Amino acid sequence: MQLFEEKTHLHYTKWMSGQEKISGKQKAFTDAYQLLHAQLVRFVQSMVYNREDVKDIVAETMLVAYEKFETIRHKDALLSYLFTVSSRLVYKLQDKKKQIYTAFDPEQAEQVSDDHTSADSKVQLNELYNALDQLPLKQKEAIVLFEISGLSLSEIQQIQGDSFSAVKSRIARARESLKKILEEEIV
Amino acid sequence: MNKLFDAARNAEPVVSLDESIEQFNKEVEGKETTSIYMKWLKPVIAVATLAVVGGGVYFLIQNQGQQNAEPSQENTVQTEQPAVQATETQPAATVEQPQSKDENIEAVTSSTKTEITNPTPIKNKVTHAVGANDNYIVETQTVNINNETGAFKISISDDVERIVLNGKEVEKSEWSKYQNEVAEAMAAKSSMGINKENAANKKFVDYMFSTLKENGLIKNNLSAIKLSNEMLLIEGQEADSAIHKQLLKEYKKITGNDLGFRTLYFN
Repeated sequence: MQLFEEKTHLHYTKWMSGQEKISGKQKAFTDAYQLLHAQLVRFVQSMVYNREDVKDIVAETMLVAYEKFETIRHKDALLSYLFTVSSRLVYKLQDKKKQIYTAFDPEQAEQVSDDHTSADSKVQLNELYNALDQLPLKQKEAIVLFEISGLSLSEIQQIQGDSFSAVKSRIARARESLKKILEEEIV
Repeated sequence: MNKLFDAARNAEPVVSLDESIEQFNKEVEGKETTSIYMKWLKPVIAVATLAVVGGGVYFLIQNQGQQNAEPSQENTVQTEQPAVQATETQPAATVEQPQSKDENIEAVTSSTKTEITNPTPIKNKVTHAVGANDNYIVETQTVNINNETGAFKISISDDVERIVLNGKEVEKSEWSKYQNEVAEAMAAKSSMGINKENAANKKFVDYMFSTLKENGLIKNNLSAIKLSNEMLLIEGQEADSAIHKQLLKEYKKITGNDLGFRTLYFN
């Protein structure tokens, strides 16, 4: 995980050298954002499966956070803000797409697996996303934030806006449900 | 399950940081460009809006002005029409006066060959010029008659005074030849006036004005008076019938003649 972030940071620094026309505010925002990018994208791709949707939600989340960046300079606050915004956008997208597809679509999941992902990993990811899709949206969001994005319970509490114990029990119920779903699929 | 979560945690993000930041920068730039554009566009829109609104108001004012102007033009036309009508009726009145008194004249007038014109002021007025000495001027009337014989100018006071045919004066001995024309002229003359040279007429005029003043009907000799057997009009208003009868009686007494078909105008 840490290696990946370092790699990403190097990538970012290299990319930034070619960017001369960006403003001070933009640079400050992208500096803060690049540390949270991987977490955010993993969360979004676990929630929506479609690459284009992931791209759109991430871009929109960045723009909204950038508008409010001057009031959320603290790193922890930015993380919480980014996930809160992206969560709302995910809900919004889910509402829009409810009538189009409600169940997990393996073809959609394929799109969120890049070419570097191994075949085994792809199978595992499809299995996970299929199981996650059968959870209530709020449980799904809580367990993705906790298990995949690596957010703490208090951070998830801030994003979901419920009590600490509610988030804790939600994640526990999500785990149990997920376990049952995966066991049923194996059987 | 943990294995599956590990796979998800280690999965490469489907949207790279480069891609996200590039897209972000583009969108920010676009937004800022739009913002700058809007910053300039707003005053332009404001000015354009003001211009449109101002133009609209100007148009409305102009339109209102035109609408207001239209009735005044109509008024002008309306006021002009009577003037035109008056002008048109005046010559007709000139011709009609003799016609109303004599059907022969009407017949002559209606024929294309005979034309009676009256060079005197409209309505054959007896011009009453008031001077410091109150000297009345009663003009001799000249009646123009154009027929097969030629162009006559017959001047009349109480009686025929002069006949001119085709620009040449006709001797008195020759007047009998033109009895028809004289009759026409006399008929026309009956509605004209009286000769200023005639002492009797002048005496009657003096009497008339002094009587009307005494009775409080006129204030001075400038009043417009119309006297005929049928009526006495002072400034267009019909006067007391007793005064009217008195004037007619006095006219006969002073001049020795009835007023007859004459209408005397004093203006």
